[in-house]
Amino acid sequence: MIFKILTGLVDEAAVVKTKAEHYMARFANDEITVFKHWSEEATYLYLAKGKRAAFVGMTGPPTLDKIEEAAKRLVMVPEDPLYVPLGGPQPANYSEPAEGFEKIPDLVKAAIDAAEGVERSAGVVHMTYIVVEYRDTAGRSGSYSANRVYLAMRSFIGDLSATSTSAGRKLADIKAEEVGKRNAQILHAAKGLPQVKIEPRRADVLLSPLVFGHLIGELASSWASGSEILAGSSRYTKDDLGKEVASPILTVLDITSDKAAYGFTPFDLEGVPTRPIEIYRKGIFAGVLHTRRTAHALGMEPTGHALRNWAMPSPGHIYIAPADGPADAEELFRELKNGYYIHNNWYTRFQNVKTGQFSTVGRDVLLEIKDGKPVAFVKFVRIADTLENVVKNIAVLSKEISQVYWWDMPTPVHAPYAVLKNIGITT
Amino acid sequence: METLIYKALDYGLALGASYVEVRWQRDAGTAAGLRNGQLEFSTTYFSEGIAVRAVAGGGMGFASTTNISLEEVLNAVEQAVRLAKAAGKLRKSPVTLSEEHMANFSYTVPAIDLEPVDLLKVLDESVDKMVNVRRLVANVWTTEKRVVTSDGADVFSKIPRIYIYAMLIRHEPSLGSLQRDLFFGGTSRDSVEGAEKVVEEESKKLSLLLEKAKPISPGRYDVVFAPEMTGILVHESIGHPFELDRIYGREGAEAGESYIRPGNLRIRIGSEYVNITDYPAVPGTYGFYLVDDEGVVARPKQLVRNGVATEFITNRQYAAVIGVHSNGGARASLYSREPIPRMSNTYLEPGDWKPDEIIKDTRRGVYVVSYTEWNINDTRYSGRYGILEGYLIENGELKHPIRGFIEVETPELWGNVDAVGRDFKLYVGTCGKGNPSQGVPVTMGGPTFRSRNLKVVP
Repeated sequence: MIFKILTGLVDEAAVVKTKAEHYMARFANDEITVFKHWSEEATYLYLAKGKRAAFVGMTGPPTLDKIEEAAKRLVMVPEDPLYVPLGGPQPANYSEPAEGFEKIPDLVKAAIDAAEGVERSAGVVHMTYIVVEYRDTAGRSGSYSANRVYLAMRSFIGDLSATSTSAGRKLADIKAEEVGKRNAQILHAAKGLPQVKIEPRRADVLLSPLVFGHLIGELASSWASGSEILAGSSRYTKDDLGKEVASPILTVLDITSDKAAYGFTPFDLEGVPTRPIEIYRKGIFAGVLHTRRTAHALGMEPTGHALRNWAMPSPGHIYIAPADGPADAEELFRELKNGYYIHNNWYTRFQNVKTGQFSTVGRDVLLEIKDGKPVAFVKFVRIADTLENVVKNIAVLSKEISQVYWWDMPTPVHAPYAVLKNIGITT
Repeated sequence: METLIYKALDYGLALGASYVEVRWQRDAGTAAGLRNGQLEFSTTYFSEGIAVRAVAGGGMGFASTTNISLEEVLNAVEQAVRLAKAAGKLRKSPVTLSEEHMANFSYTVPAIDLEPVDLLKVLDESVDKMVNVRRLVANVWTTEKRVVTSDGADVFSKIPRIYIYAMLIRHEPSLGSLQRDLFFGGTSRDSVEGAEKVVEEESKKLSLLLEKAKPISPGRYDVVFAPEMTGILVHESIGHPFELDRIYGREGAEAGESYIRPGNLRIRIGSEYVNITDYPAVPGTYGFYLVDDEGVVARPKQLVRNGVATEFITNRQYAAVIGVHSNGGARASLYSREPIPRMSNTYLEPGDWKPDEIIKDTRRGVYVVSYTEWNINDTRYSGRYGILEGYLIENGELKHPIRGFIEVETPELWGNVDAVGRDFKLYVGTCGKGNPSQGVPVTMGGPTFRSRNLKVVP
């Protein structure tokens, strides 16, 4: 119907119809503060006439007047310097049934109850079922449906807090009790330690998967994106591909195409199947995330990462490969020997995205480690350095990785613990 | 629409809810981006849906739909009530709302007739040619809302908004690299007038600062903050921690809590010169509204008076927790989001100093005009603000530009204030909070002010 309306008005069109059902229980002080369901039906159009292109988004059923209005606006926009005709491989088809939401309060209760000995817990369970259909005037079409769910919980004892998360593709992936137990374990280990303040300095740090995954997610969004490379706002250029730019133990992939990943998405808004992209291979800058337009402009292949919009690629799910470091917290403290353990972080801000100068605020349990043992908890810590130093100064990655995601993470990740040498920290 | 909304209300009450709120919301607009002078994207969007909140069985439920048929809206009502009852089973105390005089009101702000691409072309031409990276985005849209509650509110609003973001990077390997982020916006066409002049001036400064700014010697300085700094300081260290839902832990797992604790609300947080207000109904501002999304009339919220916390940003639920009336602070960014306590236009009230007199009165200090990166811990106690444009002050005179960071704890920042200027300016921002995240339009600002003896590091 939409293509018929557009006949004569545009040369090319792609239609993406989405229907998402979200269920979310939020809780605080051990009680549910709100239980929500939001249902979103939307249509996204890509329209092109000559080399003029425009994107249109509308909720509800598309109406004739909205489609015509969008098509008429095409004459008002300049030509798209990155224009490429529609085309490429067929989008993959994938289907799975929606899961019921009724067990969400049980997960909340299980997580809260398992956090024994803590004063209170706050958190969220968010379950999404999304159905997407793609069709374009080049004759390509496909559809998929998928579930995704995560639980994040922060528990408190006095001034101390700990956050743990569990993310996956179905409710059975969510280990609610483990989340609660982990929080309790972390808090009881830190409880009773003296409190210290730090002065700005360089130090060795042990980052949890939440923190390390967060920073690598930021990097993937800003430095490994084709649109940022085109704009000149990435640290890297196309010429850096193949060069050693990070620690030789660092391998990072985007695994949005992986069915087990929380961010699993079979194809993007351009109908391009997502495929695994190595961003770093053993410290070598190995790949860039692309839309069809950014790939064409840089003379590369599309990767299926027009995930949030048509114009700018973004990662969907990041995988940081494990190495041979210890998996156990106590062994990791011994590996760090002297430095700081940062359990979680938030509020990452860049002074300059091109140079990667940033700071991020430590959150939850922040421990001072001396001779391999926690000796104090630190009230306020920031990491204040460059992303370049983060990826170059990696000394240890644990041999186990976790799939984690929470509200302030830029991208869901599979991430290990990481020991970073000589990193700037401040209060 | 009216019939549908009232049928939904009645249906929710019939299902056993003690409170039902139905909000229709439509956001429609156009946006565009330029990358180094070339079109990056042009888009039109149209988002419309109905949101239902219900209190039932002691809990709060929320449901929304984009399908505005009677059947689907009644389904959403059923969902909201069912989810509220399920939530109520995991509550120690039932959700209650404060009693209010509910608004019956309709208002429309004149449309903003501007084209994003045209605006951006003008701005892009204003950028200094030495700047290497230029990313510009403009968004012009209108938000329409109809909020109806089972206890008597019925409010329609139609508010246009414009928002412009410019990211400018001057990168010169031999000198270094500087990034400036600029924001413009409001609820009137006038609100972005003069933006090209600001873009021109600020982009030219990057080369100057890159060449001339020296790292500051670490130490304690008297710091004079210009209004852009006042804005971010007020927003982060007073506005957020004064959101009553945060204080009571509702955002504990996400945006965080507050240094203000339940049971000890009205603390001293600043010197006698510190008066901070949040006021939505400032005409033309980006944070403008007259009635909140629970149907309560907006009014000035006197957050800090003479250094003491006197009032908190709240919605009806958290007003009931401390036994006060709502001050109209509930906002929802989209049809699919619940109304929660949010800032609007948050500012330090002016004092009686001329800004240049504050500088002349400072023997050894730093004058900070604008910032780069900034952040604050989640209780809003420990902040860090990177200095983009700043100058050393010696014996009341501005000297060379400096670079560095102010690392400061909130009681120290506001407690050491001894001079507040008579100038005043608001700056545009998008405030993030809630899960799912809700970015809402706000402004922040105030006058130039001085805080003594703060830690500044290179």
